[in-house]
Amino acid sequence: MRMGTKTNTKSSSTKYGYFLGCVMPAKMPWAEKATFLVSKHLGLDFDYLKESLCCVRPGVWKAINPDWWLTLTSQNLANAEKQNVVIVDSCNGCYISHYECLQELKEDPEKLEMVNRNLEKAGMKLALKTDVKHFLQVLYEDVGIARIKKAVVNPLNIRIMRHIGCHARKHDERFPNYFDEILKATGVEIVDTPYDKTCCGLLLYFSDPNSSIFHRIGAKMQTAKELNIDAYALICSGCYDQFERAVKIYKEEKGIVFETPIVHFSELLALAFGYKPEDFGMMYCRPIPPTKLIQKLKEGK
Amino acid sequence: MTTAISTQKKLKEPIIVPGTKEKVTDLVVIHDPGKCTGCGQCMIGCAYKHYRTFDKRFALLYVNEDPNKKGMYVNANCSHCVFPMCLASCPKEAIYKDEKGIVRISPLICIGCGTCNQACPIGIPRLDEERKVYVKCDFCDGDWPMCVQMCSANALRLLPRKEAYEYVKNLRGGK
Repeated sequence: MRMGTKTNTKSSSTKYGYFLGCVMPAKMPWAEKATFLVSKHLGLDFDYLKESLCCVRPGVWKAINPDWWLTLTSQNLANAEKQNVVIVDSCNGCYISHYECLQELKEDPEKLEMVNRNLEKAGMKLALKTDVKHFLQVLYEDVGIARIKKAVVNPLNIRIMRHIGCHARKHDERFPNYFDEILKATGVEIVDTPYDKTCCGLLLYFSDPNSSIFHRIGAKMQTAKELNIDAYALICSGCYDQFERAVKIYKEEKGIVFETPIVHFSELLALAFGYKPEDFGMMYCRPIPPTKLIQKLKEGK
Repeated sequence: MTTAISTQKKLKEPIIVPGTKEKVTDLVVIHDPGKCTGCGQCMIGCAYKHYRTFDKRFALLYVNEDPNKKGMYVNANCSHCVFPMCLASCPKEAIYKDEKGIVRISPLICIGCGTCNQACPIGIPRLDEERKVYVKCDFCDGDWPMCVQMCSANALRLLPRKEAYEYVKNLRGGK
């Protein structure tokens, strides 16, 4: 199956509960598989967060009713606590929801009391003993860039653009650097463009679909086309949802076909670690087939 | 790791401007174009808070793509000025500062003439087309502003007025 090395040994006793979110199981089975391949390969004690519910995206719910948002999101925190795992999110929306909920409850005992009153009705309790981490944090801080570099047996000789997503910039300015450094460790060449930090437009879609699709993703994908890059790398499932939607709308409404495959960060890592595209179903269920990319990687050009 | 959560969430006593009878909010919202991703979440949150809709056209602050710089966004939000030009220009004295230093427009007095929009250096007051009166940021009544809470990339921040001045000065390269 794999082209390369032995699995690295486990270095930490931390148990991670991976929160899938809503988009990944529905639209990104290859990303889910690749994330697990990469995590196991790096020796992490990595499993799904069981009994998980919607992350309850704060972007909408905080405006409607912050107490509802805190209560609903804290269910995942309580489940993680019960399972004695650290919640890991690769979707930025899920991360920000879990992270901000945890922080707010830590800073406001009255809110924690309110949340626990509500959770009690569902037979749950939150003692704030869990932690929330972004997948980038787990890889960069817990595993370390040296071990990631060591695991690379098949450096990827491709040119990519990347999109980390807004929420990964909110509370920690190190995340964009983690993203870049881990990507570079796979051997890819990152092409910088003026649209790298521009939002994917997901948050704007229901308010202003035209700007959301044609100004945000349009600018990004058009630039990718002009620069003839091999792949567009993302980590956030919410952003992927928007990229996929935009690519379809461009094709249906404007007859414009983009050919730059949109890939998940974990897929590139899995490929660099020696896994084959078929190990995680890279060629299925995507609006832009990565045929040319796979061919290029096979030929090693 | 910095979190917006630990910032001051509500307006405190207004700052009295020395030598004048002016009072001004102790906090202001500032925008860092280097961080803004143009997600529009600030406008959507504002629109929901004030109009119960997610239509960003109802927002009371504005973020637009910088026509001179690809991929950069500029913002306009009310600073609740020390000497508000909107207040000075209103022919009906519909604009006033409340006890917290928030600059407000009274919808019962406003006649919708738009002078305030013309007088404001960044054109903040806008016409509410349904009510035919001008409307503007009310600092979420002194609570943690929804735009700051919603900002997805920490580009909007709530800072004490003096710090905000220094922050913006640094963003402009010390000018």
